Amino acid sequence: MDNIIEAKNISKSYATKQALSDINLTIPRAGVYGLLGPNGAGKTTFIRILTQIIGPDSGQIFFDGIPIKRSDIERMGYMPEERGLYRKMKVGEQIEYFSRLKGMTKAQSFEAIKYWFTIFDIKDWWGKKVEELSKGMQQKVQFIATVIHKPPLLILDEPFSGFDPINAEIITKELLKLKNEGTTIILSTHRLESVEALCDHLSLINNSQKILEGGVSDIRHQFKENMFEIVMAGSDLNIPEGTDIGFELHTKSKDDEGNESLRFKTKTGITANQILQKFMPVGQIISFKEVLPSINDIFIKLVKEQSK
Amino acid sequence: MNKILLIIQREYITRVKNKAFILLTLLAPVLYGLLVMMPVLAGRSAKELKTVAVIDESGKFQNITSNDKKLKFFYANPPLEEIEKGFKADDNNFYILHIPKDFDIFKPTGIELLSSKNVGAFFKSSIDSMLENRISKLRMQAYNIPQARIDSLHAEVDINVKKVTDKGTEDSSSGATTVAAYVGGFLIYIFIFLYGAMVMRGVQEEKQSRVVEIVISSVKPFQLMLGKIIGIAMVGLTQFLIWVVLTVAISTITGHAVSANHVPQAGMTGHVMQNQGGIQGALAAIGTLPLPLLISMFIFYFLAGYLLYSSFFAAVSSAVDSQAEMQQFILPISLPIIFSMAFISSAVENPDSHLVFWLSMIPLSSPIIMMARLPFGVPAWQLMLSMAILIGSFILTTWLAGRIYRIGILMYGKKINWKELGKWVFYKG
Repeated sequence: MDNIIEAKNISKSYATKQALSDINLTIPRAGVYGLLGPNGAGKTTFIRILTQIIGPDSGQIFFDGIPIKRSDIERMGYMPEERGLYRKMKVGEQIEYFSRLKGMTKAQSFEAIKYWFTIFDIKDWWGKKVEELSKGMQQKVQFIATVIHKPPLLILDEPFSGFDPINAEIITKELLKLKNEGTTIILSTHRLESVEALCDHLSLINNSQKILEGGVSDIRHQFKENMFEIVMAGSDLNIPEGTDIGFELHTKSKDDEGNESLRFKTKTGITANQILQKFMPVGQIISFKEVLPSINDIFIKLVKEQSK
Repeated sequence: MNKILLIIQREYITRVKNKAFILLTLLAPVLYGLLVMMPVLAGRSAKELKTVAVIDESGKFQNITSNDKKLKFFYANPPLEEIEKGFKADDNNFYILHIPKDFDIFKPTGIELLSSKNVGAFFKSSIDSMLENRISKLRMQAYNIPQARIDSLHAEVDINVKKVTDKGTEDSSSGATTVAAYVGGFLIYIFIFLYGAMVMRGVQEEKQSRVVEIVISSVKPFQLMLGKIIGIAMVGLTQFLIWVVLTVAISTITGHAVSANHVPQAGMTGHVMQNQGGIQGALAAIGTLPLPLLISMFIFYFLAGYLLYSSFFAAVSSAVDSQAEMQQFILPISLPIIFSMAFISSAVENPDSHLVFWLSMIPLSSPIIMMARLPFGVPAWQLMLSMAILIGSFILTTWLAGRIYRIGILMYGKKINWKELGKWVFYKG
């Protein structure tokens, strides 16, 4: 597999606290990689090591297969959780400054700013000072400053905090576009539900340790509990016993349209056809599907197990 | 390296374009010019014609004449009351100098100056000195000293001060030297504080706005700190050079104004004469100072002293979360500067004493004290040694500050003390 980043045995401790213990991460190229975990798990520490803001106590990071070097930071775009811009600086000058710190020339920078200002429809912001902008507007500027130099690796810490739904939508669209163009995007967040749909791969970090890593659908299948959901029209149904073939009712609820929604836990080896045969005589089946656990559920389960 | 230049450029341009900066830079020399011009202008406008009626009942002060064109005496005959009445009717300011009948030149009391208004100190002292002159002449006459002798008693002396150097003797001015010593030391003091504080605010601004993490994902923290310090140093230099140029220009203009005003008038009152001679003399005396040396050394000591102190300011500012928390650190850093400031006068009084020598070597005080010593002449080896120590020191402190800074700027919500800062220096990574 073609990996853009491989982190091997990374450990980092602060004066009183172990931030990362022996972490191994593999980040595939051209995809969205979720770096998930609760607050204080060590996500930001890992990102700071990756962006070479701080150094690890031990371990090594490989960028494109070779040990990471100082100049690699020009190939990264980083948006920290705590956003920050120079308040007194004009929007255009500010983005130009950041892009030139990333190694762009003045002319390249100018072209890129024009491109992004058109996309976000903010052409008249060039001469505005940051302090004149609203919080949401500042977020846009921040985003442009992060992606302006077209880095192959984008690192966004809590990318959607502070965005209203409309702007979050715009950002999501742009991120997917960048991904399709071959950019690798690392999203770090503690709000797992917000990125689950976006991520191709993810890792879960809790309490300085990696507890899970892999492709999103692989993980969900790995943690599936052989749960099926069947939705049937009507109520007061005569629910069939399933112990003979190996399933039992787990939960029963009504959905918005008054249909009966039933969840069953099954033994392994049982087929969908076997279950459906049992239900066909009962009434009209509206839908039937296997229920995979959400990343959130998996995460909560794993964290609880770990803390025991 | 290229990135440091970008940082320097940003730090420099955002500050130089600042309106407050432009205003201060342009106005300060104008204020200075006004300060110089003020006494001259004030003196000129104050000199309206004053007429003093002299009622000399003793007969000893007949025909005193005023040398000042703006002061006229005329003699009136008693009684006093009538003249007073006449003046009051006139509704103008009036001055009546009344010398009583029984006036004794060996016991000179009882002379009165009557006026409708309060009398200024200058005016009173010029009349005093005129009367004193007359009384001493009268006393000399009383001792039977011949008039010719009396006339020959008055002498005027102005010593020529020369400095002996390898190239022979040079003109020198102890007044100008002293002034240059104070001005040099004081300017360094102001510049270090002014621009040290600017570094402090700049670091704090980046930390509070959290922009620092974005910048240091592109450049090393040390580069950011150094870029900021150098950028602000250049702001300081720009301001200094503009001030030098404008001050020279304004001094030249006001200098002309002063000398144009000063058409030597035969025998003004002593006080005024000294005053005007002082201003003109000072202007001439500036020429006797080794200006190229002073200005180039000022630039060196400003830059080196500033680099030394601003690295402290940067390190400490990076470690705290707010200006308020900063206070506990500012005083210990500022103390050596304030301390040196207090020693400028001993450097001026005794530029070669042991104490002053050591103060001009110790890097924390040398920028200020050496500037105060310089106009008096400092042996080349001492100057070289002092400069070398200072350069070595600021390299060391900048390095130390960089170690603290890289940890500090990412540290939030933690109470910091000196011990903690010391630990950071040895953190790795």
